[in-house]
Amino acid sequence: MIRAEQISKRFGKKVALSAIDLTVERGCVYGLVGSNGAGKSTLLRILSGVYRPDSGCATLDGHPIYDSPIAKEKIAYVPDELYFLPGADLERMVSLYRAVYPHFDAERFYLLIGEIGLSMDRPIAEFSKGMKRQAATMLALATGADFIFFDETFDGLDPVMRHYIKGMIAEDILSRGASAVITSHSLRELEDTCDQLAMLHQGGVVLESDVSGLRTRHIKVQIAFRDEYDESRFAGLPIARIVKHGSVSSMIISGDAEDVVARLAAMEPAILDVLPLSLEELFTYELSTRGYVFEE
Amino acid sequence: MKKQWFHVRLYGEVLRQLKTPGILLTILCSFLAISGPSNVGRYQPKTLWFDNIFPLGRVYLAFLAPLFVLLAFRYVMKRRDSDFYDSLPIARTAVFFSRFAAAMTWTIVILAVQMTVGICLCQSFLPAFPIAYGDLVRTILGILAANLRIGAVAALAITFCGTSLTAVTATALIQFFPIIYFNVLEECLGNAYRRIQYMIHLPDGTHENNPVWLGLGEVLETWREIMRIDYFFDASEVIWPQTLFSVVVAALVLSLAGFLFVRRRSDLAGQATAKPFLHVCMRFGVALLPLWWFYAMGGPDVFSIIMPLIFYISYEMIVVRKWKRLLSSLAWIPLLAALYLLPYGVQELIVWYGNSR
Repeated sequence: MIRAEQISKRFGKKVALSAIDLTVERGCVYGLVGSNGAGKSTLLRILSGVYRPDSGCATLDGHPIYDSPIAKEKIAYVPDELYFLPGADLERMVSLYRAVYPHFDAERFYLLIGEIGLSMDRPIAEFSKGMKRQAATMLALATGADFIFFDETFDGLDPVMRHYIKGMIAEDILSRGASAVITSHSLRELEDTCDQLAMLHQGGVVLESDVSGLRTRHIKVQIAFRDEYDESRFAGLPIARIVKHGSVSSMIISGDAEDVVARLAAMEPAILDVLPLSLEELFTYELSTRGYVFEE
Repeated sequence: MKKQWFHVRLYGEVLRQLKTPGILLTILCSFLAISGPSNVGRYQPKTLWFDNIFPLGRVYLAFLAPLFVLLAFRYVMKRRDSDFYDSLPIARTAVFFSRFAAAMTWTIVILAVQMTVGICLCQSFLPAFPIAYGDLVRTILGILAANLRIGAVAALAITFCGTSLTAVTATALIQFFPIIYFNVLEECLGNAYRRIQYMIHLPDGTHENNPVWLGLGEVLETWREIMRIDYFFDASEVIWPQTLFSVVVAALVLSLAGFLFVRRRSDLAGQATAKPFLHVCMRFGVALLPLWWFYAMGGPDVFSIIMPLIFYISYEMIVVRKWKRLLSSLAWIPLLAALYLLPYGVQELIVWYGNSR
């Protein structure tokens, strides 16, 4: 388990992180979402031992991560701006990774690279941005680390490769009980991948929750009646949000889905549909209950 | 857990990354070795000393290590590069000593190759002139020790600088500023002494026979020899105290640099210095460098007063690149002037005191 306890970090006068507390368990996909400048990359750098926090502590199974080779052997970090050894090809990168990561699986790496068709002896500097990101991701997956951090990794990847990488991450986690921490500024990006999510805003965690729990606690429906109606018709229902266009209303309602649908059906609507509820809508609602309003 | 002090693979990787400048400098220095034997025929010495075989070798060879150290640690100046290396499971002490060792290895390779080329050329084309191997060994060891010392200083500069410019500046200041200031102070005290020596009567007779004064002169002279890097310039020969001094200082500075490197913030990449106070010190250090000119000219003239201002403003403009900060830095000019004139002021104060007695 990786734990961040009261982590704060500032750069000059700017406060990048302020008293962050979060926990990443083994065997989960943890999403970190937030706008630009929220502190996602800074937090990842602290959790991977690149930065030392100004206060607080980042630990892995109780041991501080910063300047600890034992802890860092269990962590692989894929940064937003990639770096490869100057003039290197993938063979040279493998050679370095084998020397520093004791559980690096070179055979698995060759297999992964073969599947996506990257050349082992071509200079990495000649790779496209997407190819470099693929190479960095495969190197990280082959380290055998217990925690793999991906900082805006899916940027620059085509949809097919994005789906493939997500599949690789899921397979890694299932087979080894590893964990992935993925940052993005888009909830849609993380929607079908993460089972834990945290939202950062101006250096603080404003919301942390498991995704399945969020989904089961709310339901989105579309309803219409033949006669005129207003919100008072739904009195007694815990409505989180309601938007009415003409005779059709879209509502997000808190509570058990079956119970809510039964109560709405009893009102004999002309239309009653249960709609998929996106994480974006869930987060927007959850944050509004905490007093956060984001400009469009 | 056993502390990790060295990482062989990282050492090999850094050796490889320094391959291009290493090979280029090896070839260049070997080419320079040709100049020695070609000059010897003109001067016809009885024995070939280091300076006959490698003219100016003391000057350029001493700066190999700091160059390679700055190259080996260049990654800390860029966020992307430092993110990568700092995320690897290698202890920072091991990173530091592995990279420093790689830099020193190339220094030794270049020195060894140049020595071999120079000696072979002399033996081939100047068989009549015996080579003073004792002087060669003593001088090369002195140069290696100087390399170690200045390389350690460069490593120390890396621990609190985040750009190549400030790292080079800090290296030069740490290495040369104490020597310059010491020489200036010595020059001022010497000037003051010469102007008042016939006015001061010491308790037991004239100053020429005073054992305290003579003893102090001996100590100052010896210290002066040791502190000088004149085996790069015009000293007659390298002396063992210089070499030993360099090795001891190198060990101390390297230990301090290693200690500070472990604590160096990765997010310093791209910033001038770790603390604003250090930036002010460096700015002052650069501006005070023209002190040597001031005192070589025997006191103030227009050029020696304008030079520190030019150095001060130029350095600030290049490092900071913001007009607002440049303007706010001008408030420190009075303090700069006071430090600049301090040795001269002390000199004149001593002269005034001597005249008043």
